[in-house]
Amino acid sequence: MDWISKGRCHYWAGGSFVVLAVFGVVLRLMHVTFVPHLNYTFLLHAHSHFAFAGWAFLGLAMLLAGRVSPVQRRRKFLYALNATLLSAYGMLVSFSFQGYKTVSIIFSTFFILSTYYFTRQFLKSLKETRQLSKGARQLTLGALFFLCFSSLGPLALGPLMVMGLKGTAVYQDAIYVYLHFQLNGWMQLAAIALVEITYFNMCPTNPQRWVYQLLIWSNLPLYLIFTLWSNPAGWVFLIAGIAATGNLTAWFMICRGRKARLLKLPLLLKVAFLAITLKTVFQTLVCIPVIGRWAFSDRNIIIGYIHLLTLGIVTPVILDQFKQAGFFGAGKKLQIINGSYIVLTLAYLVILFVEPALKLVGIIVQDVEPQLLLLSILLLLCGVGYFGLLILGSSKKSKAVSV
Amino acid sequence: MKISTSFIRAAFIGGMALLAACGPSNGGDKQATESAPAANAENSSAASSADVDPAAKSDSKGVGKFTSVEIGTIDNAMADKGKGVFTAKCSACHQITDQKVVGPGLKGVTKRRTPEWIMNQITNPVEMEQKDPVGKALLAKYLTQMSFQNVSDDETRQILEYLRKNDQ
Repeated sequence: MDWISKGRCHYWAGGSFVVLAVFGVVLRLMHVTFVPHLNYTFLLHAHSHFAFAGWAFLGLAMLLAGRVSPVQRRRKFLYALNATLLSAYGMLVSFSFQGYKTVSIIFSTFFILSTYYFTRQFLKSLKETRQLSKGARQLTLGALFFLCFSSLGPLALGPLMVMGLKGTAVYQDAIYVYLHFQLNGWMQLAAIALVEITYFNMCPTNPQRWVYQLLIWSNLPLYLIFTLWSNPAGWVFLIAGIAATGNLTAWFMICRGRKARLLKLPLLLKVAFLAITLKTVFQTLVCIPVIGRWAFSDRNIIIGYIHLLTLGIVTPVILDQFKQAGFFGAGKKLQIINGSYIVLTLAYLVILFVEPALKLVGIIVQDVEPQLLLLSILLLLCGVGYFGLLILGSSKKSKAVSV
Repeated sequence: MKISTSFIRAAFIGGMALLAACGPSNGGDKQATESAPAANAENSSAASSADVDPAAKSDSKGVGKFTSVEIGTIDNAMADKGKGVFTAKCSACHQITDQKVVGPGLKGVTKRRTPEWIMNQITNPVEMEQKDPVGKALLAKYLTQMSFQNVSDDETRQILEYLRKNDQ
């Protein structure tokens, strides 16, 4: 991983996390009070696009590359990561000021091209080195497949617009192709793959091939859960339900043989495993039409689902991997920040999910927005703490070297 | 090299197939696919909906079951009930000030829109944003489809009263 820290990628990723949290705070602030000169929709798009590129992709991609990179590929991986950074900041600025217009579309396209380039380099590296266990290899290939596959969503938007379908259910569902295959396909599988590589490589109780394959490919029909909002025909619910059940089964099978080992994982990863389990159960439940209709009509649940995946699964895995790679240095401070991060994320998600649930039984929580704002500010402080530790961690390291 | 290009190609072809398979099949889609050509025929081009300024006053009654709504002096009791419904079901996306968040700020909405339009938008948002010119312009501006929040007709009327009171 040394070549990554020499390339300073981990600083940039840590910085991205802080930037993301700042945008989160501003968005939450706009729910509480009037903020002049800012456009909520623009900032929301900046936040989400930057999260996908500048944090999730950058973090996961550098960690995956660190596991397989033969020497001759390193420079090319750095090209890919730098291209990602450039497009991430390009999107951040252009979406913030202009919204979904020419400049932001150019940067988004550039980001998609960087992910293709990264995928190509990664596949070549896999051929050149054989370091991954079978399970990790399958998961990584699955993750990369969905990474490329997801780009069909945005690529379809142009033609759909020309066909006059903008604003229809089909147009919306094309956007969801991107969201679903990025979140549930690429990010989640890549996160599981990293854990697999680090903690379960060559583990004798590893599940059989079909379990991994089921976990990966159930994501294809699982896309249908993202179309349930428009209340489609019954068979769509049925297929989505079968896919979600398959996904749940595979996840259960993966955890089953590893009980003892799971209990020994670092706290952050226990959180991630719990979050994957909850997310997998939720997505099965929404395939029951009554529950689905309720869930899709409530924005807090949708925001909760996305953040369960990003803050609950992807971020803990990246943070733990950073620690394993020695980016943070060791120490008590990291434990304290980790603990705070977990408590805050938990509180944030509980509010997002419980408020709509209470509404069902007739209890109306008057205003959760100030609490959500407070939590987002505290999460920002965690982000600043992590960034500080990244800087300190490496300055300690370089001192040690110079001594 | 060969592996990687064929890998990406496979992802593409698979995706096209999926889009083709899912596009028409999903959807309260019956509405979606039928309405698109209809809307195009009416307006002759997509540009006409882009010409509508969502901030401007409109006399449209919208699309839905409310074709005529009687309004008189403001009923405070009804408005209070409406405030409760609004907090529970609308406030995650709408403020009652000028502040735009996920959806438009609702200060002045009863001056910009007819009572029928407001009640149709609350109870029939998907069709409204596909067929009504103002609804389409709003969707194009905010890029977020509003969803029906399971409000009854009575509750919808109460929300309207609350919004009227807010605009006093």
